[in-house]
Amino acid sequence: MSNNNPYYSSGDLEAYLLGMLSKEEAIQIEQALESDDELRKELKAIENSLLDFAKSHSVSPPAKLKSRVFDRLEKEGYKTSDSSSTQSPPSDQSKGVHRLRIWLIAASVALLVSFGLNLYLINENLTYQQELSELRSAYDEAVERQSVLAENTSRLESTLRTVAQTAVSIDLQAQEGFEGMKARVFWDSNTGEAILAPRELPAITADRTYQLWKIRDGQPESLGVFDLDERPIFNVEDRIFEADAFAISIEPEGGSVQPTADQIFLVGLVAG
Amino acid sequence: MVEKDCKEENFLKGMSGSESSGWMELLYDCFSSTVYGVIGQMIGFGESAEDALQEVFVKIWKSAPAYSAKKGRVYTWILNITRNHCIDILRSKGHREEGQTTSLAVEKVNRSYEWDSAILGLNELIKKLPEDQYRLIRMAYFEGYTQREIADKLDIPIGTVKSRIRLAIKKLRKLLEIEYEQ
Repeated sequence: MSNNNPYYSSGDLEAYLLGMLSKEEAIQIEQALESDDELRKELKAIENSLLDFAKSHSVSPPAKLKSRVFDRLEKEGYKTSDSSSTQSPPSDQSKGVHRLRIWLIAASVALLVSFGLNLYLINENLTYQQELSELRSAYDEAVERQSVLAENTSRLESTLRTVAQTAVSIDLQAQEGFEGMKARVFWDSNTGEAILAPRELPAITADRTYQLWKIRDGQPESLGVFDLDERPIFNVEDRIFEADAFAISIEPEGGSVQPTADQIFLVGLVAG
Repeated sequence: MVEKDCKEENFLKGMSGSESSGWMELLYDCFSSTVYGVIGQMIGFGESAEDALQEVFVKIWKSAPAYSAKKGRVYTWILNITRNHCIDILRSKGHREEGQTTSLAVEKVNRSYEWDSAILGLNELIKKLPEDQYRLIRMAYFEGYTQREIADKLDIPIGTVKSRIRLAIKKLRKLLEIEYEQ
């Protein structure tokens, strides 16, 4: 045995095997070992004695532990001897397969989540479609109502334009005991058209009604009954070509042939 | 008990990833007693030792392709993985203080555990080492102390630590040579 190499007696070989050297010192030892067979033999002898030291402390692990260890290894990708496959450690290729498996699992999870999400969205979509259908139906009804209202409004506007051009406005004055009551009549004597616009009228019981009158030469003539709940203005159906005044009275339900004297509360004279 | 053929060449093919069957099971049967014994000496026996054994074999399985025969025997490589794992545990926060009592606990366990029958003779042989030399190898091998830490603990110069360890291992070798020659 050549003992010329200083590593023989320095204690560095022992320290190397015990993992007590720095990385740089370990590299130097490894370089020295490459070119010195005797040094390698010396290292092997020290290694064997340390292995014996370790072996001398051997203790059989609990029998149950082996199955625990291999259950864990199987989870890590190792296939036990029960499997017919080869049992290679996780080489780069098998690591790739392992990574691929992870990606496949991830992709499967993503697909499942996507499927669930799609089902949810389809369900949501159906709900939205149902709501949309109901809204569209409500909208169509509103449009139809709007159309009817628009037609009525159009007709009324046309009447008002006509009346505004040539009609006179007659304010009906409150009689004694009915102060504060107001209404107005627009009347076009040329066309005979008239419109009543009640403004401040008292509420009346259900068994009573308002009735509009025209007065010509002292004689009242009914122009019809009306209810305040219906409309803000009323188109008078009868054509009126001659009138000295207009009046409103409160009459029994259905109207009267002659106005009840003490119930005539608004009167407006046509300007002469 | 069926004798296992624990020659290193029986593991090398499996470790390198080429075709082999049951090599990890064989490796476990061959080395788990020493691995478990080393773990027990380093961190104490019990549940944590069982967890550590599991972790060590997972590390062996994962690191196998990186094994190089140039750096030592498979046995040494396995025990280095075991020791490094336990040193990490020992160096984790607060464990060093526990380690002081672990050694005492280990001594108790050593007496109460049933030793692997194959190494009973070896165990008796190691007991012939002078106490201070045995203690020194223990500190370096099982307790994960650095040279500096051993120097501080034994109150000796750091340069002396290496030479004392060398002498202790030399004594160990001598005892083993005598045993093997007989």
